[in-house]
Parts: sequence; C-alpha cells; structure tokens
Amino acid sequence: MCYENGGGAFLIPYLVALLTSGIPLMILEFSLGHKYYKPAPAALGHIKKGFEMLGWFALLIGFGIVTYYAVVMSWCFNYLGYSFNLAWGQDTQSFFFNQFLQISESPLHLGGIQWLIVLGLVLTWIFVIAAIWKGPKTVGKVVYFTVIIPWLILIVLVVRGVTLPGAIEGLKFYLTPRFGALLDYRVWLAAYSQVFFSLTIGFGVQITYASFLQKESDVVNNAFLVSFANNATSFVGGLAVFSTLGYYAHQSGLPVSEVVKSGPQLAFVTYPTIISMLPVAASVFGILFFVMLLTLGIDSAFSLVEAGAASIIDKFKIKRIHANIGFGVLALVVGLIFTTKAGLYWLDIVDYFMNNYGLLVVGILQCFAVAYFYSHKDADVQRHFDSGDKSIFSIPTKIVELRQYANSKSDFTIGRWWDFSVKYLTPIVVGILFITNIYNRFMTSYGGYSRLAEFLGGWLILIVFIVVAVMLYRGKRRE
Amino acid sequence: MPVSAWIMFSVAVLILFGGIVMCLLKIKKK
Repeated sequence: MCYENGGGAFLIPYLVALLTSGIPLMILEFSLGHKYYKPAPAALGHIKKGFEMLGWFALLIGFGIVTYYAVVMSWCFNYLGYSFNLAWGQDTQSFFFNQFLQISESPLHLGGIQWLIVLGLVLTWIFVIAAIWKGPKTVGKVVYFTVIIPWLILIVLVVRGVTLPGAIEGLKFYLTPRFGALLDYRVWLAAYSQVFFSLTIGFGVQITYASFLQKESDVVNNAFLVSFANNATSFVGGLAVFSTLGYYAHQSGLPVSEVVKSGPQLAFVTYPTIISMLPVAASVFGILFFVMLLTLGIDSAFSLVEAGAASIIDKFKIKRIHANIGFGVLALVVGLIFTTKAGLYWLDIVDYFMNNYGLLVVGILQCFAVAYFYSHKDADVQRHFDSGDKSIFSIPTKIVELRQYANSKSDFTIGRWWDFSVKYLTPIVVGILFITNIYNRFMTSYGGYSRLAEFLGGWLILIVFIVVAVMLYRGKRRE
Repeated sequence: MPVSAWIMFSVAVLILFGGIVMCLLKIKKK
C-alpha cells in the first residue's frame, strides 16, 4: 500500500489520518467502553437504545473476519512445519497455489476440503479459546507473550533484512517520497482507510476492551499509546519487508517494483522464496517469520472473539466457557468454506466486503450516534430542557458529555478539535470512501468474480448479519 | 539513500516512537 501510494510520501497522509481520525475514534471507543463499563452493544445502547443493533452488527463483522483470519493462521501453522526443511522448494508460487491450496478454477467450484488446512484450523481455535479461557484474566497474561515475542522477532528480521545485499534499494522504495502523489485524493482515502483497519476501529473491540480497564485508568493516554504502538509496529514491519524485498530484487536481477507483492502472495510466496535464498540459517528465519505471524494473528483473533463472547455473556448471562466454546465451534464450522479448494477466492471476497462496507458503515454510524443523538434520561439534557432553552443547536449531545468524561479521566485533555473530527471530518472521509466503493461495485464486480459469487460472499453475508443483529437486539436481556 | 528518504524516516520515528515514550512517561509519573 505504501509503495502504491507515493512511497515515503504516503507516511504524510498516513500520519495525518492517524492524528486527525484514527486517534479521535480510538478515544471515542475507549471513552464509551470506559464510561459505561459495558461491551459494545450495551455501551452503544446507552446513547439510544436502537444503537445496540449497531454494536451487534460490529461484532458480527468481527465474527465474519475471524472465520477466515483463523484459516490464514492455519496456513501459517502449515508453513511453520514446512520451514524446517524448506518444503516449498524453488517454485514457491506453484507450491502455494497448486500443491498447498490446490486452488480450483473459480469460487463456485469448491472441490472438497483440504484436511491439512482443517487440522491447522482446529489447532488455531484451540490456541485462541485457551487464550481467552478466563476472559480478561487470561488475556492479560497471554499478551505478554503475543506482544513481546513478535516484537523481538521483528527486530531480528529488521537487523537481518538491512544487513543483506541490496536492502538499501528496497528501503529507498519504501521511504523515498514521491510528493506528486499527495495531490491525488485516492492516496488520502487509502491512508484513512488503512488507519481505520489497522487500529481495529469499528469492530466493537476497543469499546469492550476499554470496559475491562480499571476506573482510574487514563482514557486519552491509553488511546494515544495503543495507536502509536500499533502504527510503530506497522512502520517497523515495513522496514523488515522492504529491506528483504531489496535483497530479493538484488539476487534475482529484477527491479524492486516487480517483486513488490501484498497480502497472501507476500507472506506465502515471496517471503518463502527469500527465506530459501538466505545464505545462512534459512530454516531458522522461516520458523521465526511464521511464529511472528502466528503470535500477531492470535492477538487479533482472540480480541475479536473476546469482544463477541463478552457481549453475549453480558446480555444473555450464559457461562463464559459455553460462550467461548460455542463461538469457537461456530466460527470453525463457518470457516470450513475457506479450507476448500476455492477457499482463497471466498476469503478474498468476504475480506473485501467486511472491511470496505461493514466496518465503514459502523464507523460512520458510530460517529453519528455520538455526535447527533442524546438520551432524554441524561441529567444534563434534562437540565437543558428545564432551563427553558428551546434551541436544538444548544442541546448537549453525547459528544460533549464523552469529551468531558474522557478529560476527567486523563492527563492529556482533548479540546473541540476532537468534536470536529468525530462530527465532521471522519464521517465525511469515511462517507466518501463508502460511496466510492459502492460506485465501483456497481460498475464492475469485485476482483472480476461472477456477480453470483460476489452476491453470496459479500452482499448476502452483510444482509444476514443485519438480520442477526436485529434478532440479538430483540433478544431478552437476562438480569 | 536520498536525504528525502532519511527525512521521512526521521519524521515517522519521531512521531510514532516519540509519542510512545511521551505516553509511557506520563503513566510512570502517575
């Protein structure tokens, strides 16, 4: 993404997006969770009862994502095994697509289940459920390993990467700015969308995790710290990737622009090729790379599961063990579609729709909920009506209340710039992103897939999630 | 590497890691 959008110049819109939209939304989600001490549906339901549906919808999007995310982790488990003897051989592309995935000709040709991938999937879910077995208590301990281990490995990979011949060419690609790209509005949209996705905003996860914080925890400082740490990890990850791509280009005699790949191609084709090329301890670096992906993946996966399980427990008062296992089994069964020979196609379609429609809708509505709605029950709204002021423009909405709450809990205080971001800037940017995406899909189907596949893997899932969100909202809360 | 690349690198490191250090110092102070 960085290379496609102006190289080093992309860091400018990226950092601007982080400071003007990413961190403000993070503060918004942290404040909601911390103030009401409830997971996403219940916290959003405090603004206006109906917004509880938005919370459930956000969690369902997270559920959709974790079903295929776990399959990618299963690939990592398999590739971790292959790293010991570099089983992918010389033709890593053919190994990944033809031997490992045995990819079929189209999404509608499922071609049966790949049992090695199912095995990895079961293993993944055992790890994920174990990580959240006792909720926040276990999570607090597990993250010591799943945060420190990948960072240590990342440092090793950066040091190895930058000391390889040709690394500098890769880094030049990553960091040299092409300022002309800043005049292209698509670069700015790409930066904002990348910041939302990477900060896990709109999944209901941050709201739920903030509800686990102690009452005296600093809301604004935590929001800044999590955002900076997340983006610093991405930035350092870029150093490791591009330095290694520089080495690959150097060894293969190709320009760096021709070896740049993203997504599964980067992790399961390009990286294994580079690992095989390493002069010493190739297997060790293969193992380290896939252990890093697994530990990072487990972190993301259990945060999504824990947010869903905590919400179910909160509303329906079922036992944690039942919620965790039920969630895991359901997600595993749904995820079996991604273990078929057409799995990669479905993964691609579902991933696109969850991120580009589901999350953006949640992002916009969350801003609207806070900025333009208020609850009649709130004391300050009542005081406002009692005062005889009839102007609708002076009604205190949740945004003022939330800002005051966040400031009362924080060393760094936030001002009206935060209101501006949540009320205007973020909804406008996210709205443009959403409309652009809808327009593009009306013109052509996503990724050249058939309209039927696009409907089944995209629109239909979103419709089902809306229906389920309504059903969960209407379900009776147990006290 | 060109100077402009070094500048971008320094700005990103300063903002991201500077931000982390600043937040951690605040927590420690508390």
